[in-house]
Amino acid sequence: MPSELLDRIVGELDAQDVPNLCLVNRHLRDYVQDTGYYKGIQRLNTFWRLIREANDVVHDYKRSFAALVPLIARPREPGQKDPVLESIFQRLADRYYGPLRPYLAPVIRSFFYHRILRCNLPFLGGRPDGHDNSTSRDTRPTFSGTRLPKVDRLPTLAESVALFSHLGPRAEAQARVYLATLPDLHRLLVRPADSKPRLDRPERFGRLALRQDLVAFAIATGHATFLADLTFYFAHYFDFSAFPRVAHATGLIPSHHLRLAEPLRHLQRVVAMGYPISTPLGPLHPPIPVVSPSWFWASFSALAAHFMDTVLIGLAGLGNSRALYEYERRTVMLRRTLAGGGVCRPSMWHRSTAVPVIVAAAKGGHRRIVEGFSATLTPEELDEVDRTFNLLQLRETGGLHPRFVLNWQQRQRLATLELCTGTRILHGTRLPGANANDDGAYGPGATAANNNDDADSLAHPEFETQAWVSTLDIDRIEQRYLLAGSGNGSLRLYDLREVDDAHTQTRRSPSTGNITTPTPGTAGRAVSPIGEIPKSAAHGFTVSDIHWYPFDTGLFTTSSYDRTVKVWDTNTLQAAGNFTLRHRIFAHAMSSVATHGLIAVASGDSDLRLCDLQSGSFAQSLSAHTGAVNGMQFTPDGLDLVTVGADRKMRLWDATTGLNRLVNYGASVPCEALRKYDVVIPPFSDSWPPRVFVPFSRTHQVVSWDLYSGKLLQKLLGAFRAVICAAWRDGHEVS
Amino acid sequence: MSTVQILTSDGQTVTVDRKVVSKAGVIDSALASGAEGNSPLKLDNISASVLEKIIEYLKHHVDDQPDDGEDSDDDIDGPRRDPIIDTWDAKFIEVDLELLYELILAANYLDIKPLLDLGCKTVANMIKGKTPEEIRSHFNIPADFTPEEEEQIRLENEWAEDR
Repeated sequence: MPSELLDRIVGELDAQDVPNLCLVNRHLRDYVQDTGYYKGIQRLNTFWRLIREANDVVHDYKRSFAALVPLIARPREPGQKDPVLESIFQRLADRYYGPLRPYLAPVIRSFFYHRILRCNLPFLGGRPDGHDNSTSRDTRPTFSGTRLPKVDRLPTLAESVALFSHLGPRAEAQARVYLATLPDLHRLLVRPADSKPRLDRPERFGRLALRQDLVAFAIATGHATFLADLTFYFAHYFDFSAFPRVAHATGLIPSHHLRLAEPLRHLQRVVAMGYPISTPLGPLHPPIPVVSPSWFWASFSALAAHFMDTVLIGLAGLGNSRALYEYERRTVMLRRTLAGGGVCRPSMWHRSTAVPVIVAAAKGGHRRIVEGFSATLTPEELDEVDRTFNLLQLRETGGLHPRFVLNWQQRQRLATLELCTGTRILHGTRLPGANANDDGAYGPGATAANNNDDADSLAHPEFETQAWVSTLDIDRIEQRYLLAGSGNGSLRLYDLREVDDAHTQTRRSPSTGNITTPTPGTAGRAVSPIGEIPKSAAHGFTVSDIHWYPFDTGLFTTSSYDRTVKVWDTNTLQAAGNFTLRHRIFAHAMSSVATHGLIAVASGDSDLRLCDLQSGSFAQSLSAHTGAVNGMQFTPDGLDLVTVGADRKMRLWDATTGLNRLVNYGASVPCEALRKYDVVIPPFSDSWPPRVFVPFSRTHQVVSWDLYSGKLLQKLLGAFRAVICAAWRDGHEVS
Repeated sequence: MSTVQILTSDGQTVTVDRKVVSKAGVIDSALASGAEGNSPLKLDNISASVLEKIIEYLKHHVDDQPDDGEDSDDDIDGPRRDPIIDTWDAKFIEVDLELLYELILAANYLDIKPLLDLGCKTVANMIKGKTPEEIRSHFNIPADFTPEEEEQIRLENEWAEDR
């Protein structure tokens, strides 16, 4: 039986049935062992084996816990490590991922419970009471009859430090960093004993967010055990059950299921005030620079558990820029910085374990231009940071109405002429076009191309430079010229070699000694486009798609929501042709092999129109879908064409005959009518069987199919919001 | 009402209502893409008896609202489906294993999601709560483990029993 059918059958089974299935015959065993389910089991097995090692005698895990309690609770010097326990925690933290989380969570919880309780801190209400089921109405998760303690008062500072010190030297060090650098943490941990936790009302949620930042930071630095400790600690600090969003985070698992898009103001404060962010291995090299005196959101990618070599830290401004910092985990060295503009909430990353695709997505539905930047701030700007933070802190603690802060933000914007998509945030903070696309890791969208500096944009009546970038294309011949279409309809042409040169020069600059903090003004030279077509001449609305002519750089084509497809002469930057359709256009493409000069256009119409470049007329239309055609792409060999339509179908067409190839990609492709969908087909040399990837915003996933059989290969899960684009990283084989 | 002719793998031609048969995704898209009306649709891997059974199913469910696949998007870990089977369906699926297997394969090929679910649920219900020996005898699966291997797997799965 084919494995996708087995998948369905096994999906109907209960967890207890699966082990039986393994025992039936070899085929089924091999099948089950290949699934994620079994991988989860294997991790659990490791876990149990470690427990067995720890107590050597007992095989039953429940009894082994009972045996472990005295072991854990045995008094020992603060900070002394128990190697077995350490390895258990380490492995758990490092490896745990999978569908068995619900089973594992109470176990881990119980572990940390015992671990913390051995501190015998008074505020936790005494020592654990293994089998007391008496009068407690405590309904929080329990494990093997062990009642979790009631936290009857808040800890003092000394108790907090003691607690952290019992969590091991690393946690203690972390705690000290926090305590030293964050007076707020102190304030949080040490509250007057008579003040009640104020989390009984959802509007007080802001306080909780202050804790989540620690959690997030623990993940970012690979401190999964610390994370678990912290989460446990906070879970007992307050009863989170009334807060679904937070209850989510108390599963103790540093998985990407954890919603980390919580504000991370502490980090920003640390950053803005110039404190180094410390990790177990020392400060980040270089530290995250101050990016803006604006309100920042930050979210950490929870990749540490999967990609042990990489830590991604992301910062996103309120309506302004985004930045993504990628650090090497072991050395804490900065690998690359990616930043972009545009209106967005915290961004998300998804990286499947098998497929090296990175999806960066943001609210707003468009690919962002990305560039590297860094900065130092003047004292005045630092003052502003401080003021901002005082305000925001008031807001967090409930001292200010949120609307007030919002209004204040807007006033600030007006006062400084800082538009939502503005360059203000990037003012003086840019490396001149640091090219983030060195090895193409973040796809073709990850290339430096922001443009003028503030003076120019202020002088420009239409603020054209402040439009966000909606689509990009790099020429295939030299990989040198970058086309950018913008949200307001204008087009720009950049020479990436200039970017490279500028980048190299900056790196060599001896003035600062620190390559990422060149002084603004001297090194903040922006790369200007070598060609520009203003909005008035280009498109009325957002440019939805832009492509070089596949065979040389003399021509390029653009399509836009203003219902036109335009053909441009690169040398004169004049329109050489214009096709007007009846509907907004989502995408267009030219075959990379055919010389017929036909542009296939996907629009709100149900037909796929073919525009003939030579005659300037519509050659043909293919009845493709019953609704809008939202995305299309030629296969790399140019022989076939994939379309995605609002009728929730994906179809494969023979590009030469125009006939449907009748590949069945499944019943329902979650496509919406008014969105543009990227269809990504990796070069055949990179993946076999040929695949096609489509990011679906509604279901928050990227789905991949076998291109020619239609078999569903994989759903890349993990993004918390709409996934709007995907890019293929060249030269990586899919195993 | 228009009809469709279908040529099965054993050479028989079956005529069915278009409305009934368009519940099957593959046939639907073949028809929608404008395959010429007169030549019968050729389904290479479905025999007449299986097709007959499928048409019986489709006729009974012809007025059902299509499930638009919302459920599969809700939960990251996959939805927990309802194991209860409708009575008519339960009677319908009371067939020997051979035919059941054929039905599942055909439902998969033809992209009839409810039937596929039904078949898989039925098989899963057969497996549920059975020991490996019972599963083997029920499905006529020969055991190909050596005792040592079996012991090894049992050891690996030990934790999952007794919960």
